[in-house]
Amino acid sequence: MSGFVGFDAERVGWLWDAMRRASDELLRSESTDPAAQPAMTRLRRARSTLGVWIPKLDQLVAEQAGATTASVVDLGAWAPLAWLVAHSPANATADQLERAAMARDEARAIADALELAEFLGNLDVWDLSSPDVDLARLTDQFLDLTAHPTAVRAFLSSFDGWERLMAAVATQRASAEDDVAHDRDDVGAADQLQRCDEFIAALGAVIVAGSVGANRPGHRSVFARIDPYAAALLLPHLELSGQALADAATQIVRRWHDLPTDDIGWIDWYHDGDNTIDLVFRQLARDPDASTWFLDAAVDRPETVVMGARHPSTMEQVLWLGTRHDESHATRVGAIVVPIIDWLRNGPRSAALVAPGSTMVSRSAIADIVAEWVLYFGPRADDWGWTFRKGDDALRWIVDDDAAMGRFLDGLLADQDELDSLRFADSEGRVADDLIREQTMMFTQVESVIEDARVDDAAADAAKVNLGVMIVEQVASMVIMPQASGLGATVRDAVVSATVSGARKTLERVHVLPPTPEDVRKIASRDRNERTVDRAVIATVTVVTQLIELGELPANVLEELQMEDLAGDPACSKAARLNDWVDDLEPRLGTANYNLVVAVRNGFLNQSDVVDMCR
Amino acid sequence: MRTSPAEQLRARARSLRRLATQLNGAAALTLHQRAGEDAWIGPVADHCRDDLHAVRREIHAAHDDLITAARNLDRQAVEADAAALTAGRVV
Repeated sequence: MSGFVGFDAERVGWLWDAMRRASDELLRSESTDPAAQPAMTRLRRARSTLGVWIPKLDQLVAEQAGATTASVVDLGAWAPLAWLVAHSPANATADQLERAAMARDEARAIADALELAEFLGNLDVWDLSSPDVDLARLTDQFLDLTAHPTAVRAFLSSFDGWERLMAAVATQRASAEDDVAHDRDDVGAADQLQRCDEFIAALGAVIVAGSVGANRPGHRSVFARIDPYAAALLLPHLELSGQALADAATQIVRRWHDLPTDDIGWIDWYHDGDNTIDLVFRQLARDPDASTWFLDAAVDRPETVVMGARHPSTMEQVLWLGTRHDESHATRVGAIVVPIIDWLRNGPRSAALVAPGSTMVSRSAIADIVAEWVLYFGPRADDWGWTFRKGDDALRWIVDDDAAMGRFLDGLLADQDELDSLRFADSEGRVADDLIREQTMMFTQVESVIEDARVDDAAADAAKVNLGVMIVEQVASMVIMPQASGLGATVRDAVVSATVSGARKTLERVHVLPPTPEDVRKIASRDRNERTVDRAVIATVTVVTQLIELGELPANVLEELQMEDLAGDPACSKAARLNDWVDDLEPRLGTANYNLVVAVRNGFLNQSDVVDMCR
Repeated sequence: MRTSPAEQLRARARSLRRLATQLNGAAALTLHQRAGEDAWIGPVADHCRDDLHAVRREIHAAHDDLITAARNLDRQAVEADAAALTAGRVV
């Protein structure tokens, strides 16, 4: 036990008084009942412990009666308090002297910390820009402080000027940043910007050094008091990650959106650079786990996710990271995405509306994110807690412009990880009828959405063709025949790739997919019935092509599918050709494979609809 | 009036429970809150805080001991009642 202590005489006085009264109270709690004796032994031990400290505190307060505020006392030289000194300095061992020396350094650090706290506490907001205040020197003092955790804690306990200090340094930093932005050759502003950043980093280091253990003052209490822009500047220096970073980000972002109580506005409103939301989201975007946690915590405040940043790309990146398929459970993502869409559709209401330069996540960005989860806007709407109608309605709202439609379709083609992991048939050849139905429902829904969207004709045509390509790619990766279930991933990818390529050739030959760009308009303008049949042709040809790739059928069966010289209603004729072709495959296929081909065809083309088409 | 052994046991149990209740509100239980780093800092202060937490634990344990002892006395009272009935005496 070292001989140094920093203390507040008044508070130690209160502690001494409280100890004395507590000890007296325990004395009055005596009982002579034999059954109570084990308890009485414990109470005597408790009193005895208090009895050790009461005279020591008494003496400490009495000897230091002059100390009115926080003080540091070298008790090593304080003979009456021998209890605080583990050894006599006169005959101390080398080890004891070394420990005492360390304690002396610590005592000095505590004294410096308390002095620094007092100096900063008395500082006026605008003093930081005066020549009398040397930011670089203060930065060094803070960095020195971090070497002594006890001193850091002394500083954090004593310093109550966070709000003013951080407002001053954040304002100064923002002004310097503005100056540099307007004149890149302004060396003075650049230096000031750097000094502010170093000062903020040093403050962050102090908070980190004082945040060891759950009962230590950490950033939460500081963030609750300071301007959110200042908190956002501190955030990168707090060594936070995962849940802790998400919590801190949530605290800052909510505060920013809640508006200041003084109606003056947050610091970043009056400056041009990155605002609070930009800074926080940029930090989150470096940590996918934190992005996920952050979005989870924001389900009741959608505006804190999609509004406020001056650069919407930072918000989009966090949204994308936190809803990416490979790490996310569908229900979790639904809990995040559904309120965001509701909020965006019902009209934004947020402090960000009055914050200069605020932007909002675009529909295009939302379209990109939801592309991967398109099933949950239709066939799996229940899993997201909304109806098919509401999901479908939301999807239509999202893709109702050219840019959003474009990104949605790009997303559909690029990000279907969840679908890729599903199979139309299991290893024993059982056909997953529900899954096929779900897929056909999804493609029908998406086509309908494309048709009704207010996008220009060329974009709609391209979208419909892309949808056909998507069916090929999706069916090719989802079928993977039962007999191919033992294939390794590389071989399976090769089979899928060959299937896509082979199927596209056939589909272009039969003019279900456009063989040339000039054919896009012609194919996209087919009526709804014919396009329904086209989708069934696409899916069935893809399955058959895969069977060929796996050696189950000869390659020439594809040539047997002919769509030339159709007579009468094109949809009806095309459906008849498809059905005849599938019927002809039966003798050449095993039952399981044939059943799968039929299931896929029927999934995409209800045979009772064919009867109606041909009526 | 002379009280029965069972009544005496129950009276003792009540007394122990009263004492346990008093301990629940003992001032010593909150001393550690006054000994925080806003009051004093350093290894000595840390040691004091550790001791105050130990005091707190002792008082909680004493409380539990008293409750256990009271339960034992109640059980003995029930047994005394049963013994009295067996002996044919009116309790």
